Amino acid sequence: MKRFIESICKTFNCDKTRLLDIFWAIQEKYSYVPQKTLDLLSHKLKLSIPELKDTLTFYHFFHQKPSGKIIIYVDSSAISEIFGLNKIISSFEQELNCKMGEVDPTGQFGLFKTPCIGMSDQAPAALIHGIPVGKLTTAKIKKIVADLRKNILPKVQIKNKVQLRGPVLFEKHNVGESLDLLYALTPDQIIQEVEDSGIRGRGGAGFSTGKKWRFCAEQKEKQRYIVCNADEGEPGTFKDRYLLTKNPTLVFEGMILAARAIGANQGLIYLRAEYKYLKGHLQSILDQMQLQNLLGNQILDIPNFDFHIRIQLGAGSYVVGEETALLESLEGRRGEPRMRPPFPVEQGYLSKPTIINNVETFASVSKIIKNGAHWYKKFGTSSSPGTKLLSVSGDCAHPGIYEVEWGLSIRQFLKLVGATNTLAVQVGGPSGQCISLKEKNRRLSFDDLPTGGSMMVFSKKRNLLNIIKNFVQFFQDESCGCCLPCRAGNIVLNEQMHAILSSEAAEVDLQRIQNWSKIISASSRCGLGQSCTNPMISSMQAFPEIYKKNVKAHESLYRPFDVENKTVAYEQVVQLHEKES
Amino acid sequence: MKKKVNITIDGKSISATPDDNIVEVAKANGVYIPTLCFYPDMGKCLGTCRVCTVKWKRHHVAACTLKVEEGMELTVQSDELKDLRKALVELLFVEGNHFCPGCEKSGDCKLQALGYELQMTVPRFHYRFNNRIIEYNSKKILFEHNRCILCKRCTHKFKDSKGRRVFFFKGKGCHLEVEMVTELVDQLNEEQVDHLVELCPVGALLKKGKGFDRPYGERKYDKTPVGQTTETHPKPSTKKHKGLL
Repeated sequence: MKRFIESICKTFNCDKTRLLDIFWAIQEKYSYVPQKTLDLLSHKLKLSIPELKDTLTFYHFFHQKPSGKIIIYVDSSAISEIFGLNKIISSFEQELNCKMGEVDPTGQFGLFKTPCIGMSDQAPAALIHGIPVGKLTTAKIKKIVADLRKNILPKVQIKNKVQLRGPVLFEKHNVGESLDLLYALTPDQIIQEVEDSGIRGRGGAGFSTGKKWRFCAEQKEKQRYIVCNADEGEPGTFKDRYLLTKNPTLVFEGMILAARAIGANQGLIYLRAEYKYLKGHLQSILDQMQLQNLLGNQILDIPNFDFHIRIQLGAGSYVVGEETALLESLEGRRGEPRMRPPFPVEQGYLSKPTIINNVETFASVSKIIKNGAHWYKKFGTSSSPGTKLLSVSGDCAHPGIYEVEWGLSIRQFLKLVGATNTLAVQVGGPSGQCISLKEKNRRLSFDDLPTGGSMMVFSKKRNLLNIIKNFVQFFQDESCGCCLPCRAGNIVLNEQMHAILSSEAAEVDLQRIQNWSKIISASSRCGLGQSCTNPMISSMQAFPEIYKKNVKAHESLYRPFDVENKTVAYEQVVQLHEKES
Repeated sequence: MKKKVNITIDGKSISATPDDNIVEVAKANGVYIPTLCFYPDMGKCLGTCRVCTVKWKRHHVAACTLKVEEGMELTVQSDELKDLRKALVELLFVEGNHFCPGCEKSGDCKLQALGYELQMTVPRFHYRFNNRIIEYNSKKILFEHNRCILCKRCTHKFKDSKGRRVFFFKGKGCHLEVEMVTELVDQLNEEQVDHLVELCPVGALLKKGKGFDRPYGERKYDKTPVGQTTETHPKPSTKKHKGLL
């Protein structure tokens, strides 16, 4: 063991910013991170054990006790839930002879839940030893477990169902085509072109990409970084999975263009742990690009244009999708969002100016540079130019990937995806909006209904409250705990949701949810806390009748201590005393 | 020297230096913004408790994270903000297990003082009765986790003589807790331990061998409301106190 720890420390140069890689290496060898390895690491890296645990305990893919040689993570997202999550779990429990969250008697298998693994188009799904398997049934599970017992792992089979090939990302593209423009355009012209296109960040926040690049280029510090955010954690999205499996060069080209624009020589892709199975594939593409002189030193023989890309694997955390939390994680720490300002363009990765963009943003930028800003602006609306990749899941005839122009109405959307008998659409995942068909004329755009790509459709046969409860639970589990309102507030909201579902809530509880939600979202520190109340609030607005119907109790269980009532005797004594004196 | 700019807080015009911290600027001008995790002159603020939330341009922002900008118009005292702060303090009271009458820090505790300040009587939320431990392994510090409010002061603002961090986080979300490096705590000198105990806004970190060094009535917030007291770098006490524990 000692030799092993020494060798991995050597591989990563005893670099503390590579802690995640080090833990991954240990876990791959021992299938968990034993205490003894921490002792050795502590000695080697000159970090105390609590400091190592600071990082280790933040990520749910790292285990500190034996958790099975083969770990099965069942996707517990709302989409999985409506497609029979409970049945799937009991099948696994029966086949493996262990309970959820435990290890089987042989110590061979571990069974755990995990939030959305980016397979909502093929729900219910699970990650088996890192390999995604969709459309699970009892029979399929039987076969999988039988195979596993014979040491046969399932094959990686990602079925990307592209339902609508749009005009931008699906336009014919040869590898490296956009990079030809590197000869014709100066760095400033690249930024100008991106700025002119009006493209806004595709991750959800919608900040102008051109402006971001401009700010970064204006920094005094010359050492700069490009980071690609491939941590698509929003339940219901899988569009980055599509881009990374089918068209990763388009994403890398965007990163190279960004590097040229701001003069960066190092790029990083933060790949979510759920997509670990893509790492080898992506690395081989990077190696290929290096051979083609599209990456590495003197790219395309342009003097002094060096750019390298490294893949950093995450370890399971939704909040790391927030750009500053992602930076913390890239530096080997807990994925807690940083205070802003300074913004990443001023002080990002290793405190140097950094551009962080979503996978889809980089892919779109390649197309913008190739075809020009003018071409790009032909699509979409004036305030939301271009197209958007949607990950469609839930109750519709054609779940999968769609590239649509911004400005699409919900009515058009539902027709497109073949949704009938629809109750609600969750636009933008749990952190987005839950809308009813009364709002079907609303449009997907940054000014009306923004979306990072997740589109979940729920039909009338679903229990909406169960779905919302799933979202609230998700936020409670994924809160980093750093700021109070999000850490403690989500528990309170979850409790209220539980009360409603178990018919223990009264009318007054609905008002409480509204009031408390306002406080939590107003005072939280990052996007997670600010949007964690969205599912409850938006669904209450869209479906007041569903909530009302479930409010059955005459009196709320939530009865705070009635101070006036309980101090009557005291008040009487005080009054008596005052009278006498 | 930077040129002064004008800002308004609750309608009151204030002339301030750009980039100065809003909490401190307000205080210097007689406007009190309640704070809890905020600690003056300690560089980067923590922004964990959110009690100092104010309103700027229709958005809610933690004042401790804000810097003076020309033409800022801030709202500090409104019914909505008062209730928000009160709710946050209540959340802290239900999250931990706080029993003021039996607490060594009573009267010196910022959380307790804020509770009074914001006129909190009974929290609107359910008590969680979280099962937390009291850690007594260290020779110098008694760590009462029941009272810990996870403000990050000890984890991020306290370093030992070699500049090492001594406290870290463990877990996340509602399972978050602070873990101390016992060996390093044991190497701290008297002054550092005093500083550490002072740094903790509540009674979570206590000095071993010292219980109640001043009687109730003579403590920090006993007669002066929290808004009028100043928290500064504690100077090591010159008085020798006899240990009671």
